[in-house]
Amino acid sequence: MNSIRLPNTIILSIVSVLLLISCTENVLVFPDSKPARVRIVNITQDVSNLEVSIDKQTPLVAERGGSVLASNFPAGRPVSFTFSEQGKLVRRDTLYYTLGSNANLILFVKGSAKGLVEFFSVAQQDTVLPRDASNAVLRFTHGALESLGAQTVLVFANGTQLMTEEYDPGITSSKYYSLAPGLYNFELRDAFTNEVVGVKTNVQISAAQSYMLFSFDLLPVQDKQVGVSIF
Amino acid sequence: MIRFFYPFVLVLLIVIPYQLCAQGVTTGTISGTVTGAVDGVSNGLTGATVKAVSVTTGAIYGAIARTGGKYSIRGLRPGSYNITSTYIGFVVAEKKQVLVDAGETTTINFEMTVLTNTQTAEVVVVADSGTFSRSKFGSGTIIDQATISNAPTINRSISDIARINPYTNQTQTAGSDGLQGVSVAGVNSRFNNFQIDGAVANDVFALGSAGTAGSQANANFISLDAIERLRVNVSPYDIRQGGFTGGLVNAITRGGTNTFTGSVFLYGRNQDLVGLSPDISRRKFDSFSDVQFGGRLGGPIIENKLLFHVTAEVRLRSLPLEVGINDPNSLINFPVPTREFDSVISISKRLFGYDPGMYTTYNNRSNSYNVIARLDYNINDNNKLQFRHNFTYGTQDRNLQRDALTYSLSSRLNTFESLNNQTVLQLNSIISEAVSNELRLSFTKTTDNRLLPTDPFPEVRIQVGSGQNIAFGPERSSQANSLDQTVLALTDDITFYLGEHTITAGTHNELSMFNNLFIQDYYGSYQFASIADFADSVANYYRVSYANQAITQGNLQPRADWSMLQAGVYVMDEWDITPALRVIGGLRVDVPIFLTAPFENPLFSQAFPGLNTSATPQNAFLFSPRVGFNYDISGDRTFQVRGGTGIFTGRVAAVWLSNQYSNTGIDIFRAQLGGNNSQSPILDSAGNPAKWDLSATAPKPGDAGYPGLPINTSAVNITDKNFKTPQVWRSTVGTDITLMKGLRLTVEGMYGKFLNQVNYANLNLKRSNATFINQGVTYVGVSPVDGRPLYQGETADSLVSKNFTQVLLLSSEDAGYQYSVMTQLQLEENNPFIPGLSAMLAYTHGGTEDITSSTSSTALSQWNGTDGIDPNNLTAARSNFDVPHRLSLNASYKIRWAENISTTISLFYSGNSGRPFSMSYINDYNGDNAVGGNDLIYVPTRADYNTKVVVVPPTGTDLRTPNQVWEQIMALVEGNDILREHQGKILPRNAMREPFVHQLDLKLAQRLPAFSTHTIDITLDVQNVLNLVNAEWGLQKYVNFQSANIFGLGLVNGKPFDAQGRLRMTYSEPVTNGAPGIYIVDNFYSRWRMQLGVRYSF
Repeated sequence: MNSIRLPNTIILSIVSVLLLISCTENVLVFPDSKPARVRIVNITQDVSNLEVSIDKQTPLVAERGGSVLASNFPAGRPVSFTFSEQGKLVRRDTLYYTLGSNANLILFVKGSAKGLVEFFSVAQQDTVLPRDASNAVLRFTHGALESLGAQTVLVFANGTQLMTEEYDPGITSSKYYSLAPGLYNFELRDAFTNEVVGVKTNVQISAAQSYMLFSFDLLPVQDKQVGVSIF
Repeated sequence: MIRFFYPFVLVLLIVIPYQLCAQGVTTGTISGTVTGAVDGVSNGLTGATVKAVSVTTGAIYGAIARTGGKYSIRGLRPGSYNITSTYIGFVVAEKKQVLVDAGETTTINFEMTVLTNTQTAEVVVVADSGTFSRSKFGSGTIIDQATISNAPTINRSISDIARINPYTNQTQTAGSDGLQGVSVAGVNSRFNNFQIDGAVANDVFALGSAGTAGSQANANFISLDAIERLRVNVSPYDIRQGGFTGGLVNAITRGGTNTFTGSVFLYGRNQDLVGLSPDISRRKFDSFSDVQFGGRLGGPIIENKLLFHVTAEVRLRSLPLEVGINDPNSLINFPVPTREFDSVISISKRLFGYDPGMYTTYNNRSNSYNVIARLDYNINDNNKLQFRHNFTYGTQDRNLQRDALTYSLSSRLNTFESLNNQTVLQLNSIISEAVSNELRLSFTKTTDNRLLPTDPFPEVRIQVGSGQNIAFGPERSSQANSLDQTVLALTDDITFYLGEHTITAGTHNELSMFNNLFIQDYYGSYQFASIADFADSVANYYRVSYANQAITQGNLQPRADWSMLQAGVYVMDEWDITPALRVIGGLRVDVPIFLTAPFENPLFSQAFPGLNTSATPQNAFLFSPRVGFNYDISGDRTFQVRGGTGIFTGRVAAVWLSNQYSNTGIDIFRAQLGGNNSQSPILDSAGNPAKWDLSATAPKPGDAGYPGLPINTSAVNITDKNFKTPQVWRSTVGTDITLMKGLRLTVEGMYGKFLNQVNYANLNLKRSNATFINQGVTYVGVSPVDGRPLYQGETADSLVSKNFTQVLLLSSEDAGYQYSVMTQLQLEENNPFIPGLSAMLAYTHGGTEDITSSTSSTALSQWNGTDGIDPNNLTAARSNFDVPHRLSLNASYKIRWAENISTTISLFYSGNSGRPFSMSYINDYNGDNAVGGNDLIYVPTRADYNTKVVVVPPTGTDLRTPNQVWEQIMALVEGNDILREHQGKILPRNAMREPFVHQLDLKLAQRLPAFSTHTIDITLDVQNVLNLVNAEWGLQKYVNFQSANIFGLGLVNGKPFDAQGRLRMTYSEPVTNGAPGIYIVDNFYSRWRMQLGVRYSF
């Protein structure tokens, strides 16, 4: 009788003690931050379809002059970014960026596969408007870095200067501009000559949305002419 | 020095003539009562002769029963004895195969019968030993030879065996296959006393990880094959046992017998016998090898008279150092592209003509060679002489630091070699029926050297990536580093048997002589803020040490040559009040005597009145009174209560004392320019970035081109004149109960109060007088956030004396405690439940608080390595070695198939709490200039935002807003019980804990018959079996240096506060091993490991 009971008692004791003590006392567990949303904007000179892998996830693909939005990226700690085109790295180094929790980030990628592909030095925090907002908001980034005839530009909407600031290459508007819903034609004009250097027509602007208008260099780079896009 | 030598000689002269009596801690005792019934009345037979004959060696020991028939035979070599009792007119009584253990008293009572013409001998014997020994008062474990040979082990180290004791916890060298130490009762292994046959075998200087001589070179000081038994004592109230505040580990060696016996063995493993890396790549080691081979032989030179035993063992190891370069998939990734390594190598060759070596994978080699020889000479029945010599030579590749932050090129490597020789002579004598003596002399010589693989060159660190650095050139602490240690020890115990009392008086003395060369930055060390700065030869941090040749008489490498004597005397009474109750009481007095004075530095005495670099601690007497009891409640030794209380005097790591001799500030000068991790170059006198020629001799103040002031500065280490050797006052109460045949229960409680704990302070720091106004309240010299004292930081007026860098005072203080409650079940092999199964299951709950856990060797790292609120006024907090929960199981099951054919399965499990760790700021909060983050964090509350705390706006690649950072901080704080509990306060030291550790090891041994009675054993040792079962199990996770630095500070002019007195914080969730979190997954111990072995025994 004893030969059966005793080992069972011992085993039960071991398991009980183990369960009791094998706890996570004082162990530091880092809470999961709310993930970040990231929009990649491809304003490179020559990477037609830029693949950006964030934190080793499936690459996002942004065509040149366009953008791609994706969510659920880890926030609050440095995560890796790799750039490639058709699976081939266009930047040898892995970049590490820290995204904010629950952030909406806009990351412009500039440069050339023949030289250095990299992000703009300043990332843009996007905003989310209340669903019942009656207007939209718009910002502008002058992403055409090489076009000599478009060094400083002004932004016009439906023929009227919308933004009071002048924009040098790489500069983003310092504030959001309110815009009523409707159909718009946007123009970029050289600040010195008032010549139109880029247009984006028939853009439908909806209420309660945040927009970014941006310029990019044409391929090959054109003097006094840039591409214009919006998301 | 000469005047101090006389006391030692005097002690020798006094004790040597007493080459006499009995039991020490290396030998055992048989005692009891001889009674005889005459006319139906039982009386003690005074004058009866009791003789013990060793079954294996033939050695004869004897005693004559005293008044009441009591007898004691002391000084018996552990082993098996046949004992006879004779008395005229009575039948000879005999007891065979009585087991005697070291330090234990085996009770053998003889009840003799009157001789009649036809009667044959008949003996009535009651024996007790082990747990139920009358000499067991406190906590301790005896691990016998069978348990040692069955224990799963790969390193074949003492700690793999000692961990069976429930109070122990194995410490490990993170990330490598380093020799493991063993912490006893929550105390640093440096405070253990490790002995072989009672002779000191410690790493006296205490630089090694395991605490044993030779451990610096990763070498076992003794082969497991040479060990007959291992004792691990925690609170032995026997006054002879001392020299520890942790535990006493005593290895009793094998001796020769009258029969030639021996064994040869081979153990080995390679990369196929080690698990895959604990990361997503699941990679195998490229190349790994570990071979251990050796043998032992014992036998008679002259039968029954002169016996020998020799053990020899060799170990050759090669372990790859695997760190990925810019490889996010590797467990440890150094995120810097190889082209930057190539640039560094190219620049070094081009500018300085120095090849800094390679960055390719390197295999760290460590080899060891050990021989131990023992001679036992049975001079006659009254005198037994033992001679032993132990030789250990070890080499190990060192200092090729490669981790996520530092990547060393191969020129940083050096080979550490350690040569150890120990000779011990022991004489056990019976002087008369009532007096016996044990004398032991030992001589230990250790020589440690570091062999540099390249020509002299400074250490170079170049900052790359995001806080990483590439390092090359001889490591700064190895540029001039060697050590000779000589320890002479003399122990003599004389014992008097006076009726119910056994009085022992003795002395233990250690004369230690050290000759230490340690000059950090002897060839200089440089730090460059970038590769571009390196290419421009523009450094941001420079350090150099050099001899003051006016004092050293031209010697460029002065050595700290000093010696000390630790003398001790003691007296003890073991009193058998009744047959069931034994009481022990004694007093030990130890006194350290410094025989050499360090250099005097007049400039220092001038700057710090009342202090003198040549002053050594006063020769303070250390008293260790102890009492203990053992009460046999049941009367048949199946239920006993025992306990005691007393003070145990430990030892102080000699390196801590040696620091004073090496840092008087007069024979060696130190200079430094710039700052660690500074982004600003060192400027020359014209205000331009200074250019450095690394190929030239490292410049010092006064040299042409030296860009600093031409004044000599130095660091000074001093020791408080009232400094005392650490002690602990331990009290124990315990009970042992035989629950049923073969099953015993032990319950113990222990409390210890630490006395004379080591403590450090930097006297050259000046308190800050800065004023902050926060929310209308004015704070002067203290933090406006949490009130902690502030120092001047890196200001021009930060030092008490500009002639010195740090002035570190070693002192001692009564603070801290330890406690434990232990429950243990022991199942013996002869149990009726599962015959053949032996097991020891134990649960230990404990706690330890100390001022500093003393994990380092230099005074500076001892001081700034302890996280605290005020580094100059540390208070007791949870120890680095605190283990609140430990469940251990050691079990072995033997299946006997036939004669000499058996299978043995053994396992060892240890489930214990993870190590505690602190949370400290990355940067200097309090202006104490300590490098490495020693300032405990303030845990903010939500209400603190923008009132007491602000977040430094992230820049560069950190795309978060301050609000997002703050929410992250709050989520961390509010999501953790401990942090939440301490909101609004400073988090105490070691408040957090690493994950729970489960360690399961297994051994399979198959015994097969061989020629004649010879046997062959084939063994398989598996460590970390859990990882073999599941790749996610058995992972060993740790925090580097038990200090997590995750909160940063935005320093402006060296201060972390803004104009409103608010703390400027930064924070980013840490990433470790490529994944979120702070716990480093150990790349070696997290893998399962196997070792195959074969042994031929004859």
